[in-house]
Formats: sequence, C-alpha cells, structure tokens
Amino acid sequence: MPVDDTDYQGIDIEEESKTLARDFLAGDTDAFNRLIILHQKLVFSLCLRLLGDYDDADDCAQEVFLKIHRYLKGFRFESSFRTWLYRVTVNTCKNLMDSSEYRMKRKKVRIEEEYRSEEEGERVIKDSSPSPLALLGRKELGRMLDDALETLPAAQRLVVVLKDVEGASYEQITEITGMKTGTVKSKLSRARLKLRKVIKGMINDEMS
Amino acid sequence: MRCHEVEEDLSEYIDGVLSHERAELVEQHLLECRKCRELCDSMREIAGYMAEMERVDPPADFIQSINARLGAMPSFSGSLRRMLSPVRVRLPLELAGVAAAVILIFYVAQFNLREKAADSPLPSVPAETGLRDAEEIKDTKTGSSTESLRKKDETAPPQADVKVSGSSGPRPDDLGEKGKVPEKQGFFVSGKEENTESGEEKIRGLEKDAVMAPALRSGIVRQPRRVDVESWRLRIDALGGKIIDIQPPGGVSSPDSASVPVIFNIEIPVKSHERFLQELDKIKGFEKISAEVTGAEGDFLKIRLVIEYPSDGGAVKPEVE
Repeated sequence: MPVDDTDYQGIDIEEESKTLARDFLAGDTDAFNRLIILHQKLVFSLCLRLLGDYDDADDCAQEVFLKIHRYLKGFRFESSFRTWLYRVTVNTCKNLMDSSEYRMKRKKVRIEEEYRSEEEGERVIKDSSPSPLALLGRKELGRMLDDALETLPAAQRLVVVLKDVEGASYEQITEITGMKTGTVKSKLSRARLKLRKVIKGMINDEMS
Repeated sequence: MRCHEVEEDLSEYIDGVLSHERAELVEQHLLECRKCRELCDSMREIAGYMAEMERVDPPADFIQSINARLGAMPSFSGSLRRMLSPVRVRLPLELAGVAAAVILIFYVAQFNLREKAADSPLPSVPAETGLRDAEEIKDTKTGSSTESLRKKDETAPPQADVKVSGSSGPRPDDLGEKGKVPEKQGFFVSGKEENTESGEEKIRGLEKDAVMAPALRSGIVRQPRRVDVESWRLRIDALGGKIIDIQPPGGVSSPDSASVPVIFNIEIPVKSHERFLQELDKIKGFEKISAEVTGAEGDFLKIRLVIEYPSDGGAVKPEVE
C-alpha cells in the first residue's frame, strides 16, 4: 500500500474499504458515504497537492468519488482498493490539468507570478544555515513545502507527492501513473533536486 | 566519481534502490565532498518533512456535494421504460369523457370500414390507428368487437387512467386529436439483428421516425430543467462512446419556448448499444426523448438523441403530438 494499511484506530483500511465496497454493491447505499468518509482526506489532499488550488481540488475530489460510485462494480476485489483509488484520483487530476480551461487558468497565474517576480527582482540563492527548515513552525513548513511543490512540472510533482508525501513504492508509482520505473526514478530525482533548490531560495527570502 | 554524477544518483541512493556497486561509489564521494554531502542531507531532510505533511480536510459539505451531484446526474430511469412499457396518466373527468367519445367514434368508423372491406385479406383495423391501451390493442388483434370498448368507456371512472403503450404499438398520445395517427415506434438497432428482417425493420423505423416517449401529461408540476451534459458525457464515455456535438452548446436552451430540445449527436460502439439502451431506460424527467440511428462507421453507431423537456415550470397541460 502507498500508505499505512492500518490507521491509528487499528482499522485495516484496505479490508474496511473492500467490505464497504461490497456492501454498497449489495445495495447498502449508506456504505458508499462511509467509503467517502474513510478516504475523503486522502483523495482531497492528493488533489490539492497535484492541482494546487482548493476549489479545483474540491471539484476534482468530488469527481473522483463519482467515478468510484460509477465504476465500483468493475473493481477487481483481488487487487488493492487504495492503489485503484490513487489511480482514479491521479487520472482525474490529469484530465483536469489537460483541460483547456485549467491551462488558461494556470497560464494566467504564471503570468501574474512572473510579473510579480520581475517587480521584486531576481533573488539570489545563498547558502543557508544548517537545517533552517527545523526552525520553522509546522504550519509554516507545510505551507512552504506546498508552495515549493507548486513550482514543479506536473509529472515531477505527481511522482514526488506519491513517493515522499504518500509513501508509495516505485512499483506502486508505476502502477498508479503508468510510467516506466526509469521514468519514475529520473523524474523523482529531478523533482527532489529542484525542490531543494526552491526551498533553499524560499528560506533565503524569509531570512533576507 | 564526479559531483554531477553523484547528484544524479542521490535520489535513488536516499531511497536505497541504487545498485550496491554504485552506492559504494556515492558513499565514497560523499566522504570526500562536503557540498554533495550537504546536498544529500538536505534532500533527505526535505523528503522526511514531506512524509510528515498533513492531509487536508475537504470542505464541510463535501459528502453532501457528492450526493447532490449523484442525485443531479440524469438518473437514467424511466424514460425508455416509459417508451417501452405502459404509462399511466391521470386525466380530468371532462377530458376523459372527450377521449372516450373520440375513441368510440373512431372505432365505430373503423368498424364500418371493416364491414365494407370484408373481402379484403388485410386486417380491417390497422394497428396504426392507436387510441387504446395495450389490452385494447390485443383485443383488436384478437378480433374482439367494439362492444367491449364501448362498455369500458361507459364505465370509465371519474379519474380515468389511460395507459400509453410502448414501442411495440401505437399509443394514445394523439388522444382527443381527432384520431390522428401517432408517431411510429422505433428502437435501437442491434448489431446482431442487422441482418434479420426484424433488425432491418428496426433500422428503417429509426431512420424514418425517432423513438418517441409519451408526451401526454396532465396536472404534473414541472420545474425548468437543464440537461446535465457532463453526466451524459460520463455515461457515454463509460460505454466507450463519445459525444460528437451538442445543440445548443452546453445543453442549455432559452426557457422561453414551451419545450426545450437538446440534441446530442453521439457515437456508441455496436457492442455497447444494449447497455446504452439499459442506461437510457433509466432516464427520468424528460418530456420526450427520441433516438435515431443516423449511420454506422466501423464498429460504431451514430445516434442522434433528442431530449425535450418543459421549460415553463408550471403544470403541463395534456398535449397531443
């Protein structure tokens, strides 16, 4: 599993998901709501980190569960429910990112950001003190990491979120994304190097 | 090993998936190069913090929104069922009386015609005459006299239930319209049936006349409706089909007209048309729906789907096609 199979209450999430899915398919409509409750945070957070926008993440996460509702009868219960859930989420995010409306929106944001950075001038990335991240508060650190993730190209962001945030293995990432292992490794390497560079720049900004 | 080579390997080294030989070379370099060591440490540190990133709660109304969207999707129930099976419509007493009178006059006329054409080998009462429920059609086909109909009309209850037959025969959609012949009923074309006589008949039926849902409604308060294009798209996608175009774009029309038609030109794989039928069977809430096979290309059927729904939001008067 990309993340722990067991939550803090000791529930086997994979098993619980499949039980709820079976109940739903057997006609228990409330089981689907319980399935949403079980996974809504995972799906919404993943959408948010891949899309970088709260409203888009909301729409997209809802769409994920509509798809789950629609295609659950085609789910093969011998495979991992959560890997399937990740795959549906990733594909739904990809579809949104491929849409012209989304591209226009991102383009507008990029132009605004470029305009702002021109006004502020080029930042010089300097060496920072050892482990400055440790000095940041939890919220501030989280915000910084989210901002840094947003600077990555979509494919790099996807791989690094799955690997480092969600804890997926290389094998699971290939299964979820459909990328080859070599592609996953190279994108992850580039993503981590860029993240390090961006975060370092952010810390320098904060300190200056 | 040079710094840029180490930089490329660091990500896999951190994850412990680098080959043993390569990992030893990286370790050797890290012992000697402070810059690469710092890079490795900070990458590890960032990955560690990423793993601790908290999940974010969705909006409070997240589940309600999903359920609302599930409810707003074309529920796909009823429409084709209405087309294919009898539908009960409640008519006011006066209208039921008029309807009964028209039926009676029409059948008496037909009865006289049949007597005149006694020598004809053809059935004296054509099925297309309509204006009766499924049982009545059966009666006619089995040669029952108009007596039973007359008796039925005389004993009509104050609120007459009128059954509208499905695709297999004519319906009383033209009730009260002076015996007007109703729309011919069609059906989706089955790939398997294409070479059979009945299949060809179905194709011909679809090309000429669309599948029509009953338009007869009375005393039902309806709200203006808009077609949930996205839900249609998802349904059609799920069947391996696609929407070629929608008229008007977006599936939303001006509410000024009495009936707002939305036209989907779609392509459905021949093998999926049965499922599409089943999906269509579940559509609800439309005043009229028609489907017409406009052609075939490879394994796909081209279908023109016309959906009409009332837009006045008020009570829909019984209408006649």
